[in-house]
Amino acid sequence: MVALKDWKMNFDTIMPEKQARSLDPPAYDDRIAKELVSSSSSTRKKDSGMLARKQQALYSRATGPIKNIAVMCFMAWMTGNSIQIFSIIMTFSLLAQPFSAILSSGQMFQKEPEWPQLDVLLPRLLFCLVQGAQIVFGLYKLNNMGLLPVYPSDWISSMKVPETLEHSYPSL
Amino acid sequence: MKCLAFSHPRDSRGFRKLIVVATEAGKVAALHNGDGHIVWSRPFPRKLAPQQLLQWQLFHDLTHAPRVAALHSGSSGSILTVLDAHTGAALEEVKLPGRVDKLVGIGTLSISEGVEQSVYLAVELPETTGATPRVTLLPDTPVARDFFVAQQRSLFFWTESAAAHTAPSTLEAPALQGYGFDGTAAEAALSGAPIHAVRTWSLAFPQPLLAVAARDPKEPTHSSVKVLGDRSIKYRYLNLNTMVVVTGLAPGVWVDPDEQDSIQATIHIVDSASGHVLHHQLQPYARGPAAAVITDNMAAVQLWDASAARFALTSLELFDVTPREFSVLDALFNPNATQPVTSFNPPPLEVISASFFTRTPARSFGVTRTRAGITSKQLLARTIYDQVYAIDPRYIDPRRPKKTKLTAQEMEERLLPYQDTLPVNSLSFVTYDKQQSLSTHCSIRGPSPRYSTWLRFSDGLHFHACQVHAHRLRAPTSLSHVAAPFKWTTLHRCISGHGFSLPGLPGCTYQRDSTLNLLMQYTRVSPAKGFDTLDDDFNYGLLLTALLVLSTASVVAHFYTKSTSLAAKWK
Repeated sequence: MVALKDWKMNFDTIMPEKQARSLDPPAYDDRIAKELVSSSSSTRKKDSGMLARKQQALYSRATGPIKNIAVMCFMAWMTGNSIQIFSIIMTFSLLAQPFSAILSSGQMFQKEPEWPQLDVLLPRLLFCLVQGAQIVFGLYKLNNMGLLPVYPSDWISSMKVPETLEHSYPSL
Repeated sequence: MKCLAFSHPRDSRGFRKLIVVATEAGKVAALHNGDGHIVWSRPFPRKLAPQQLLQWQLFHDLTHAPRVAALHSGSSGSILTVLDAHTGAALEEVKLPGRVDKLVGIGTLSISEGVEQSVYLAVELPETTGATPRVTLLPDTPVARDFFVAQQRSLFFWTESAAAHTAPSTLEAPALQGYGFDGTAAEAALSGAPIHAVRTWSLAFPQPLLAVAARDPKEPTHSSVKVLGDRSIKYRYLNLNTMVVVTGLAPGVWVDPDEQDSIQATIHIVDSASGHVLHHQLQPYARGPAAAVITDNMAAVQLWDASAARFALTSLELFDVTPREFSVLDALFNPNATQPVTSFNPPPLEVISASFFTRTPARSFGVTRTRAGITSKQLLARTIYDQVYAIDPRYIDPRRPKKTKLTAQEMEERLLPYQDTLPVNSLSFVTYDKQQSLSTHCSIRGPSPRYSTWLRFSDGLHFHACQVHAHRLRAPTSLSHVAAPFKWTTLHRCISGHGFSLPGLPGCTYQRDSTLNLLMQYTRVSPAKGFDTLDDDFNYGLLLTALLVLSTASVVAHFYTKSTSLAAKWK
């Protein structure tokens, strides 16, 4: 007789405390529910042109945002050069968006372990350059709005009021 | 009449003040600035009525009240009585042997932990022209003497002769006289001997003096430059010793109709430490009565224009045009980037001036003041109609362009096109009532309503000017001449809503020395429209209700979303 394995339902998941308080169905785990089904790339046959196509895909990913950037720059130009709340928000997002994109470019252009010849660095640099163009446009817009400190008068507030060496008092 | 203001030690906003006044009748009293009631009053004998009220000592802790000194000056001797500002008790009495012709405040020094003593020079002007004035320090303590010796080389004071207001002055009897101290004064101070001042400069003018105004030494200035619309910099002339002197024909002097064309007044900008006349300009057809004020680098002079038969206000703005290069690195990192200003080497000046006709002619001017000097100041004109009118500085800006179409840079600087008459905005009046009955009464009896000093206090970025406007009513000789007793309570209501109604003063009859016999008005002025404080009628109830509703809604929404997401998971 084969000893039957004891059947048990193990409710231990990664977050035990959540399990204790919530009314989720048993063994329901948020993370598992949202996990994307990863295609097993190991089963695919290695094509001869696969490397070239992958490289092409990376370059296209790098130059993809050009259209978005052009649209953003045009929208920013439309908001005008006066200091209004909408122009401030627009200029801020114009400058903040490329910065966050550059900082997260590492995640976008990740090295693939089975394709070591894949050049990830160059597409990544190209991507950063394209985002940099938006930053340059943002700085140009700031200059037109008069917010860039290029004049001496922008630094003048650091100058103290000169003191007077002699004190002459009127009589009361 | 003199007055001073002291702030409450626990008051952080600077709205609560105690106003100490000294009347001509010899009474020193303290008024509460909320409703004007008398906190304490102290009578002095008529012969020893104090002529000056001085700030004496300020304490930084809550247990000590500030001290105020009342000075009486007589030919046989002067008495300084130190009073406790919160109770009016006399704390000490200092007797001085001579007269006190002039009193010069030379600053404060901290004599011990948390105690600030104001130091004054009591000047006794000499009878003979050759002698030097004798100066006594108040208080005459070794600490004060050391304080005097430390700043003796840079200490100057000036006096104005009363006779010069009616007749032209000569060098023997100059209109303005400046004094300083030399090495012998320092030695005398250290050894305890009487200190003598030396005459450093004197100025005589061919026409009588009409008005003299000097800068307030304690006035805070925030910025030493003016930035124009094209981002260029103009350096303001911010010497504390600048004063404006107006000379011309005295009011009331008859001028032959044939000589009307030769009437002119002169405005001089004088440095009061060195006596240099930095600038003078002629105002054709102008004559007295005049009023002047100078603040920061802007001076305003009001004269009567005899040809147009209107009052004209001339504003002058002083700029320092020494050629200089501005280096950003210097400004940021070099501690010696700003050189101090000296009166004995005056820089080349550029004076821009413009004149306007004014429909609110003033007897005297005041300026609103702040703690940091950041907000633009308003010029407060005490009009001849017994009102106080606040003039916006944009209207008297001498750089107002004389054309109707402005460039973008001029619009950015908020310059208004030049118009020859200053507008009268009824909302800019600081006072509300015209005291009709009072002024009529006073004109019958003699003494005209006159101002006491302007009290200025500030609170961070919020600007207040407290003005004490007093009418001194001398008791009539017979009560039949007294007008029907007007209601003291209804006369003063300030338009801003911060005013108060003066309650019936004790013994509100026309008796000498038993009451203050004063009519006081207190106002708070906010040139920047009070952007940093809430209104008095702010709806706190609405705020609380909104907060409660929002927090309840957020809690309810939280439970609702939880239940819906749970239901979605179970599907």
